[in-house]
Amino acid sequence: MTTKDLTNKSLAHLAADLAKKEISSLELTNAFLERISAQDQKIGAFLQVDAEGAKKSAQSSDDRRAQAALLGPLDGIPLALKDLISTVGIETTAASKILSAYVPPFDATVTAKLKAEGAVLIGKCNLDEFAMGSSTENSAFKQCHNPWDLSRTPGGSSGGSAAAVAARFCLGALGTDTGGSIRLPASFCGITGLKPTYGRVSRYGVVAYASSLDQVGPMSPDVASNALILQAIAGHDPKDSTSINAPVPDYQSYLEKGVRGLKIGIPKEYFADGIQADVRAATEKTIALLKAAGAEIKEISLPNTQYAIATYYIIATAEASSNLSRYDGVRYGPRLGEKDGLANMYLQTRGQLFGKEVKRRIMLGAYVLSAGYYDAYYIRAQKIRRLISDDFSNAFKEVDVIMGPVCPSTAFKLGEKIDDPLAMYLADIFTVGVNLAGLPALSVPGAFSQDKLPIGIQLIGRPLDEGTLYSAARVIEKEVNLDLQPKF
Amino acid sequence: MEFSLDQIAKLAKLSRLAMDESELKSMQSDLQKVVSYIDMLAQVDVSGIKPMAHAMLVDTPMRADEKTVVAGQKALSQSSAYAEGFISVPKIIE
Repeated sequence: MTTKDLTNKSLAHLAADLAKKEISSLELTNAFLERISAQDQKIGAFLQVDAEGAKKSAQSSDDRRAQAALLGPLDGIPLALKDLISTVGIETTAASKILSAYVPPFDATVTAKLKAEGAVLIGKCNLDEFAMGSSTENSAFKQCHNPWDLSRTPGGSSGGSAAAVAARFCLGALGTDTGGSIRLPASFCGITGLKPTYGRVSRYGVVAYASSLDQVGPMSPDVASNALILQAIAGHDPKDSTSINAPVPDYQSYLEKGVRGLKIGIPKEYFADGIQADVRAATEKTIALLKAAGAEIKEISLPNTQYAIATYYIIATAEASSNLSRYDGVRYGPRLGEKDGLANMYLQTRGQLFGKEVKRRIMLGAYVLSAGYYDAYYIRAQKIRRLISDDFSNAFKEVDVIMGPVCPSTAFKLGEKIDDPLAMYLADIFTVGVNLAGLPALSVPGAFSQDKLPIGIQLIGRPLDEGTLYSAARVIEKEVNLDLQPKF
Repeated sequence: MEFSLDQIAKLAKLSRLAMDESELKSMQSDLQKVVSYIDMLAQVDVSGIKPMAHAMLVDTPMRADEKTVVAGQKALSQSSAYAEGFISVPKIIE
């Protein structure tokens, strides 16, 4: 089988081929490595490719398969990790110069869990620096291009992960989502991306941006493989005191449940002006198909939607200003300005090695926490956070799932919004509320725009109800039956 | 809220971020725009609402008071100024 044959197939198909011993994990891994080597210069999805490590893992998987001693359904399957997730012995940079050449001495819990399943970790994916951004344009190291249109962004901050999956450089990837950073790139790149309930997946070993909002989640070419990956990474972790101690359901069992009788809420605030016409049309078509499949559609209201972005950018930046104070050149990363004393070492290391957006957010965070402004901004934002969260809880008294577009637009052009931070922030209008409330939410491809760009549909669920999101997403996926393989 | 360049310089210093004049001016303009936007929250009625720091109610989980092994030297040796089990930094006491 040629490389092309292998990398075009779904995880389910390849898992079956592996089981029948028609291919080996080593062949499969080599096929992806070759494809990355040949094509990633056009995309920029990877910051690091661990070819040696991946081949070793693949060989171990093949050995296990020969002994009929497989570790699970992801054994031998090539996956990638956003470069915000610690990998022992492999550079983890958060796409920042301040962590260049940083090699973690430990694995994140999610890394360890995937390794324990026998997954082949093929490399580290590009992102916006410290997960701050919606386009991956804030990466300190390289540009990332949308495989559907190389002149456009893949979204962000998990843009490299999304692009890697869409471009078929791996069979799945992990991203992180603080304000939409899995869902937005999933929407822009035509893949399935899930932000789990806050606390569902351990954050241990994941470079922190905003600790009360961050979550790691799966990004995959289809809904079934998304569920497989979530199964592997979900669960309580004593090393993360914010992780939930609750059983992990069998997510695969939800895939074919359908939506008969499911009550789906459509927030009227998500259909205000400013949504691109074909995004609105795609969402309306999806509502219709879910109704035809037996769901009950209800209009609901999330009245505090308009305050979500402002609330998010106060809380997230406040938490970030604290989390990023550890980057000072002392314990890891490069240091500058040392000869002029300690204070200068901090000023120069941080001033020169953090990118512009990171510095903006640190300063905004410092401002909203400062004496005299703390009550007016930070405390007030926390109160509005409760109002936003209550909007969702109230809605979930009437409905089981809330749906709408992921983003008011399809993927924008590289360079289009980079000089206007506020314009960039407004792309997150439908995603940030979910993080503030800690709810699970998923982006599934719903349609293509007139100019052939993917449009993601967002499904938001009750806490710990990822299963129902998968049921609904699977109905959409089967019905729209899109060809999700970009040619670039 | 109008930021003076002095206020931006002070914030930069508090955040330990060295910035030249042109960066300060650019930051002033950006922060001005963003803060003007977030000022919309002033119009929300939050009387009687408790602040929410966290999506889920968390009591600090406890663990047994047992020794656990930490990365130790492996962690310290990440520093660019690691030597003989210590990390050195510029002198702070004259």
